[in-house]
Amino acid sequence: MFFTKVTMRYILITSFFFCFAASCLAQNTIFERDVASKRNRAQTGENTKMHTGVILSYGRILPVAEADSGKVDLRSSILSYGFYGKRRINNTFSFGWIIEYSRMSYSIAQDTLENKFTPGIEHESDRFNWNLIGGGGFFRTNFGKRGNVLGKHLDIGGNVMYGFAVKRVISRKDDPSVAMGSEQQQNVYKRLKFINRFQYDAFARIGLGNFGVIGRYRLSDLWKSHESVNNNESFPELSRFTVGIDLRL
Amino acid sequence: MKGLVASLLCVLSFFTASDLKAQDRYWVEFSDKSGSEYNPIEYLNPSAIERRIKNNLNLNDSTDFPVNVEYVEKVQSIVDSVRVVSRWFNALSCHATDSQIDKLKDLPFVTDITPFQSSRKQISRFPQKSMSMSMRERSVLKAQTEIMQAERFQMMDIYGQGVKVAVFDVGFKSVDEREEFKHLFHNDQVIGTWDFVGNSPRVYHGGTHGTSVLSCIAGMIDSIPVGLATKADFLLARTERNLLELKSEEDFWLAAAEWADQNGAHIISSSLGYTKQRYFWEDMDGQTSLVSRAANMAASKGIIVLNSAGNDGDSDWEYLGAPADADSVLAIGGIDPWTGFTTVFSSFGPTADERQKPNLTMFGHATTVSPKGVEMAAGTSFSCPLVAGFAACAIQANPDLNWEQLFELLEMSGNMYPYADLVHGYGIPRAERVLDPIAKAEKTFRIESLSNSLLVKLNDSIAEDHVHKEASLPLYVFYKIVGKDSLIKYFAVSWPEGNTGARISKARLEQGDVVHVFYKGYYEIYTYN
Repeated sequence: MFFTKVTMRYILITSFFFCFAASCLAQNTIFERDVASKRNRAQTGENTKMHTGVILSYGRILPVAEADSGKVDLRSSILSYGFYGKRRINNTFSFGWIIEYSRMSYSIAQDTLENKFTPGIEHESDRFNWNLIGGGGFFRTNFGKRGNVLGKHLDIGGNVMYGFAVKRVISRKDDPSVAMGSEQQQNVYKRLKFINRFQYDAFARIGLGNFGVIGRYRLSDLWKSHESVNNNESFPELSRFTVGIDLRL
Repeated sequence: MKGLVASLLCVLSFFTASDLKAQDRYWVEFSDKSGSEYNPIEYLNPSAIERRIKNNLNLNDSTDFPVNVEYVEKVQSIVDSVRVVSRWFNALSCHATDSQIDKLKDLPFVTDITPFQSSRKQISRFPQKSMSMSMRERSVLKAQTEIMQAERFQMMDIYGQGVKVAVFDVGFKSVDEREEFKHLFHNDQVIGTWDFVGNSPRVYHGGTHGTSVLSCIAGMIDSIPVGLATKADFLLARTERNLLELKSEEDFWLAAAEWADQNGAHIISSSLGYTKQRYFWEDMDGQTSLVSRAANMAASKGIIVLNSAGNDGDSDWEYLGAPADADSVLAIGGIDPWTGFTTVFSSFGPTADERQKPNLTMFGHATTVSPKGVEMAAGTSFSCPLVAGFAACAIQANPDLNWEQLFELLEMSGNMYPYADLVHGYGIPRAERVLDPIAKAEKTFRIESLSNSLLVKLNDSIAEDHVHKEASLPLYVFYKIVGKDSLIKYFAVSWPEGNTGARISKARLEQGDVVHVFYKGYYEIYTYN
């Protein structure tokens, strides 16, 4: 007999479903395809006139300093997710738009004596976090002949973002609560007047299908130039370079 | 910072260099074959000559003439390398830079140059390896030949003897070592091999896909046949690289087809497909891709070409790929051996120019032989060779039929013929339909018009019997709605319940639509007015 126990169980479950469906629909259709609706629909695909998708991107801010006084460590990163659309010009060129949320986090290196953020004090960590929302555009150049796929491409573009929530989080090494056996306390500072909430960058992205490697260069400054803190001395500018991976799904 | 910028630029250039450097593959077509000398007796295998005579084909067909040697040599002196030279298309494929292509354009005998690059897909998925056969594998192994009525062929000692089957795939790793293929070598049934990728006769390496595919035609597991043509002769061609290779192998497919033709192949079985990596759906018209044109050319030489429909039924692409889109190719879809109707992944028809596809269907889950042992494999990759084995038996049983008659006979062998839909085709091939004239089917239902629907009412005598006796598969009511423009608008499969075979809502119907219904061998049409 061709039916095994597993098969019988499968058939029974399927039959139960069919019976249930029958009571609702008064028929036992177990497979159907509306060919007419498929025929009429606009063709979809990654290389059609208009294509939209989802972005998921993660990049590490490279620990290169504008000055020794402003080094970041390897915990500095940008995580982004959002939507994108792409309008095809021809098989080689297209342009597109991006709407995304980004979390940009600068973690100040604590192993330098020239740290201008907390001079003379070494913390567990000292982070500036931007929660950004915004969008941008890009111009895409594709390479090679391809069908209805993203293919190999190079994107050049930029983003403008607004930081709707910005804060500084300091975890102290000499936290007295740790010494007392409790969890470490963090000092969170909000309403930071010296922070530049508008951020804009330029990026280049090399893509192979849905996967890409992205390099960003931040064009905006992190701190407002007319505000001064820290004994009337502005914070030093931090690294502008980010390299990461980027998925377009 | 300068170093960083330099590094980024290096990365950028690395990723794009392969394209910008412009050393790519091209298809170069020639204007004529003047000066070519051709003797069919020398070039063609006696079996190929016999096939041409049977199909009333001219033995001195110009498409069989060799490409002008001077043209090839001239191109060879300009480009980096020549890959494939095609007699059928009077063309060659080559690697060349942009400047070399510019030089080729100046040659008076070059008529067309097109860039040539794509990816391919082996049409299989979800391999589940095991060292010994489970009950599930054993039951499917038995059913995958039984459903095509293997015993009807076996009773007449039909195992594909004398029929040459060419199998194109990524490699046939361990075929020469596995016990399940030992009979092929013991009886000298492997009559030719060629690796078109490596340009050598060694084909028992590369991928394992071809091993599983070949087993579905001629493998034997513990004396149980995996496919129907265990005594056929085989031409094994490696036309594809392994999974990591992204370049197209369509020109190798063409070269293999010419080689198969030269060596007298009756059947080409190909479980490969080309879809969105290179093409758009509107290209699936059987005329656009090189591989589809090559398949049609092979068919014009009298070869029965079978190709898997594809596994894109549940992907964005949905439709079959090339060369399954070619009108002279039998595209084979996949059904689920446990439910008896289509698998979720089997690709849909029609072609871009609205032709009926697939042509036939067969199990999309099969028990196969891989280099590591017996395994359950899924994909239309395996439904195609199972039908190729059937086709070999059909050819052996009907040696006098020409290509056209064979093609029609194979379509007619489908258990639902003349009913066809866009995922099951004409159904599963059945030996009785090849060996005997089709008996007039007993009327199994009638169509009644109710106020809101059409009712497919089953005859009382068969209403309780909804299981296929031979293969223990459920029997369904298949129906489709065809519009006034003769295009299928809707099709469905329904599970009968008592006397009710199916209810077709009149909301789906327009004046002049024709409803086609199939159940248990009987087929009826109803015009809605």
